[in-house]
Amino acid sequence: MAKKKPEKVNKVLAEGIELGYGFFEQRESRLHTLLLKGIIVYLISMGSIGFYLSAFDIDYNKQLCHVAILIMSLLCAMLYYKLLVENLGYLVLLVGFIGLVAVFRRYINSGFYAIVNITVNNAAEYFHVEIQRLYQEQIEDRYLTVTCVVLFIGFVLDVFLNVYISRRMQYVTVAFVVMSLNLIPLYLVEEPDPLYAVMLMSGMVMAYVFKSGQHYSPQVSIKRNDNGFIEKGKDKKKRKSELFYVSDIKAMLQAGVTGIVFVLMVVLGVNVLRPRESFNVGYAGNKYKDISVAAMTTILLDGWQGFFGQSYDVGGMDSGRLGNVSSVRLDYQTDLIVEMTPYSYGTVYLKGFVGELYNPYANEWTNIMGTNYELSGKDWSTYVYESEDGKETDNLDAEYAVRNYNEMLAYKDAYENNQDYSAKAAMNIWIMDYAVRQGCKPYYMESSSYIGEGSGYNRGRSYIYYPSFGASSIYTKPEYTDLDLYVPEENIPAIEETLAAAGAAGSDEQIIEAVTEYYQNNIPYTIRPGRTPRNTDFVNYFLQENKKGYCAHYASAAVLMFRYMGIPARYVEGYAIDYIQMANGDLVEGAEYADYYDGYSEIGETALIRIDVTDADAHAWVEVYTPTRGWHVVDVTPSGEREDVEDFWTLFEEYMDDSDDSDDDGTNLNITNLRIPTKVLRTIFFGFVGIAGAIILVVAGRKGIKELSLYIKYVKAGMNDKLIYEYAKFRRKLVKKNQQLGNLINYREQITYIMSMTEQTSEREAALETEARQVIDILERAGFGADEISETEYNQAVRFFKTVGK
Amino acid sequence: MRVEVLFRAIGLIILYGICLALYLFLHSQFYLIVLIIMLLGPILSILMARYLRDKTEVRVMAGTVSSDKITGLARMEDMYGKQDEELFFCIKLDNPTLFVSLDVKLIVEISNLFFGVTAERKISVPLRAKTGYEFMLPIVPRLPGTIKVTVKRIEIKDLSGLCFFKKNIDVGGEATVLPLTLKDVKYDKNDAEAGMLESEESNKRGNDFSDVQEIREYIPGDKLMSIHWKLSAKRDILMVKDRVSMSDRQLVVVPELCGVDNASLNMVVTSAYSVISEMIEDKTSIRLIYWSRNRDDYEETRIDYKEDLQNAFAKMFYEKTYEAPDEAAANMASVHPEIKAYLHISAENRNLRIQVRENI
Repeated sequence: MAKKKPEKVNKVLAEGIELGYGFFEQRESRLHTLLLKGIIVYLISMGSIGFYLSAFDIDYNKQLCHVAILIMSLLCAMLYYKLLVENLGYLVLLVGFIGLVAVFRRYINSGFYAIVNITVNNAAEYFHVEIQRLYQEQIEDRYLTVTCVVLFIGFVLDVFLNVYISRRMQYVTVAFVVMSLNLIPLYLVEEPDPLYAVMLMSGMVMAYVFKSGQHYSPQVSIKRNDNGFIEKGKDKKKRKSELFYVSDIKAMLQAGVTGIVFVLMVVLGVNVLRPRESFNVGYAGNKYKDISVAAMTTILLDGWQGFFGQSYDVGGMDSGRLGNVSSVRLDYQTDLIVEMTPYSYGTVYLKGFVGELYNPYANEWTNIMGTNYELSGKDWSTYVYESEDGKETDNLDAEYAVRNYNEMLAYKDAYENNQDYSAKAAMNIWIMDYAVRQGCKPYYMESSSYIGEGSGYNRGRSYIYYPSFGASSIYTKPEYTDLDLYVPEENIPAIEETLAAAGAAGSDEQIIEAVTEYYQNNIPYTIRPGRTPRNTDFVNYFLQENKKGYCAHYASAAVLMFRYMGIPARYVEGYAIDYIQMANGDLVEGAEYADYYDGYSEIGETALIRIDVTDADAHAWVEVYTPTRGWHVVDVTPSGEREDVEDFWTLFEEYMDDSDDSDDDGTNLNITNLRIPTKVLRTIFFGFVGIAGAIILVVAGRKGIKELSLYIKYVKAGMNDKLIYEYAKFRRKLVKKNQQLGNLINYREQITYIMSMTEQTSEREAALETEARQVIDILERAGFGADEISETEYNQAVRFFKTVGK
Repeated sequence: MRVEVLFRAIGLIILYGICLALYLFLHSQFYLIVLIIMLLGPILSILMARYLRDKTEVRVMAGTVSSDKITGLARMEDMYGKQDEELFFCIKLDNPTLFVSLDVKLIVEISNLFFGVTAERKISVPLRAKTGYEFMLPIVPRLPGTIKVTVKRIEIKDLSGLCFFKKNIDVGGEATVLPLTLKDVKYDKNDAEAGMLESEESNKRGNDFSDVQEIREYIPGDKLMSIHWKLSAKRDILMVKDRVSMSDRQLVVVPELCGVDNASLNMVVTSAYSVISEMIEDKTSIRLIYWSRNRDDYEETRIDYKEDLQNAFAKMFYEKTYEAPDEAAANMASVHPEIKAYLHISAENRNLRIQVRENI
């Protein structure tokens, strides 16, 4: 059935004054208006695509893409010329689109993959990570495939943006859509070509200006073909000041050009004053981005599972297990509590795990002597000591003691003979973390004994040991096995290559120095080295491919290198306490210095201090044997500075924890062995508050939006809908008080039931009943009738609801 | 502040906040550009709109256009419009600057001065650079009178939509809408004739107080009493005396301009116009007398031709109406004792009354 054309009637302005309908037929050029909108769509779609591609310097056929996307934008805009054109146009577009995708899908796929791969490569470069998984491009000609995908994305964007721009000028939605992806290059510090910045911003500015001017889309409010004056403010309240709008292509064009010129000037100005090439020079970055970079790195390295603790390490000792850690996320939990008297500016090493046999590809160090007595060829019974209080040490102590037995004897001898640089000390250690249950002991320990009563791995022990100083030189007889010189064949090429690069030659000390220096200069330290890929050897991957790592990497490779060069070496894990930690330790009240230390001290007489040794102090180093010093510590890990970008959780925790670490013992809750640090509690608290806030915001927001949209609908609705809404509100209120009302289906039953609930005087009741009958009739007409009820009827019904509701 | 502007400003502030956060987070040149645009854009736009406000001029022209095809450049012709026929008001905004605004709100007052009817509407138009904007406002008057279209004020919105700059203009254009000419106005023509005859009879009795303006040849339709018999006899051809009638020898029409009810007033005006129109077609001179509230006195006009009629009514339409239903008739005897009788046109409760009243 043909649609009835609207009647041409004059608009009554006042009594005896009418506005001729010809006023609304003063036409502007609709075609030009649509073309202008098409140009906006082109500017935004091509601008946003070019933005992304130019930022990553991806090459494609720009001329073709510009022309094709411009044509497509204009065609899309033309869809709104007529309803028929729109319907048919979208159909044709859909068919054409499906056809094009079917024919060129390989090109489009490859183009997508090319862009993704380039993006990922840029990201990998930015995050300093190796990303193994890249998409396989079926067609290698990137120029061609990227051009195809640009055309494809351009067409999709044209269709999509056209809906938002031509109809409503919804620049905010458009901005969110186009900028969501374009944040990627900006995040990776890649700026777009100024041309595309101008295009994108011009399009957005034009859309904003037209939206603000409100002269962009009269056809939305009135009929499609009418591009002249339209009437707004049909609301009764506003009737007195109704607005008549008209759109004008020339003014729109002028406003658009003004916008473009302005954007162009700003872009040029900024590019002259702050060129994009040097924009970030001297910029130190910001904390929040660092956090996000850490999070992104975690994702890139481990995927989302990285956030759930499946491949990261929280620090502490790993007992020789290597390679399966992509990053170290320190939890700063206390692993040990150490009481000692500081005696040196150097680092005090507490030895935990000793690895003798390196298993290539299994990527682990094995403690052979600790588990295989026969292999060690020693009679362990000779290494069982008695402490001063007569208690026997256990096998574990013996096992650690044996590694430095001769050295201990030498230092003991020096101390007893009052030689220079000799001393005897006591150290108390409490193990706080189950993971360190195998224990940690100071170097050159003579004996140990339990402190207090009780049992369990966290029972404290007191160790008697003989500190060594760098200046002290002792001679010990060679005490090493073939294992201490064993290098797996699989590692030899990498070792040789690295040693050659390091120029390692000469004496033991020179070799050690060369390797250490090579590390320092060529292999950066990171706590986020990435996981060693499957079926790859840890040391080879570290030395030849990844070329970055943390202490376990340096120590493992160094052991093999030293061994290769004939220096007996072992891999050691434990804890390293530096002087700053010692200086920041808590003074143990009532302890006598003399009870804990006797002999030479680099820093003079000190006092007994208590140090919290956390997982952050866990470390791996090398023990080498040299004739002049026997087995001693060589720390090859580059000294240093804290890594520039730490991991996400560390930064996040630091952010959440604004307390002064030195003043905070880190413990808030202590139930026997369970110690939860304040920062963790704080993080949990803020986490909960954040989640609760987000939930409240979402719920309130949803409700608010729902209410707002309901209100808008209500305002726009006709009398029938308004009444039904009012009735639903009224009924809902009553249903809360009386559930039975909710079971009644039709208006008649419901109103009758509501009437039965009311208590009124007989006179009032009769009047109300009459009114109720009328209201039922009004409601039925509003709900099911074709005609609109009058305002009087609406008011009558609403009045009735109010009366009855009271 | 307008709600629209408030919402836009809040939206812009939120967007600015987001962009600022992104800039601080990303430290991107692009977002620096965005921030500058978002900050400078509105400022420049507001300055532009302010300048536009100062320079924009408004003109209003009224009239009818001959062409059916309405264009912005349609030529204004007759200043007299007809009741129920479109009358055009061309509103022209002159913008000599290079700046543009997409939304200039014109507060337009459309009124019928005679009937005291006023409507105020807003019309939003764009303002082009250098040229301005021009459009037609077609008004269909359903009542006669002086239709005046006045642009009271303009409000220029800046391109960013954050400010409106108001300027009081008060520029208007007006046109007279003449009443319809009704062919069958019902009144007792005999009475009217009687009223007229009174003066004619007076003539017959020799009391001719009229002045002879010129003597010319007889034209069919001339009244017999105008024939200059003596001269006709001399010349052997009928000659007539063209007289300039004195007031007491003309048909006096007195409409009551009582504005209590517009419909009744419309009846009076339309009837008066129709009757006079009919009379002047019959070559009867009419003396239109109405009570002027503006002057507190009678206003009288002699009407011989159509132009006189139009001018007389155009003048009358500037008058203010009064409330008393018989204001004009009440003072006739005292102010105009020389008038023996007159045609009194009045209406009450939409009942039109046309009668010859003796002036006593």
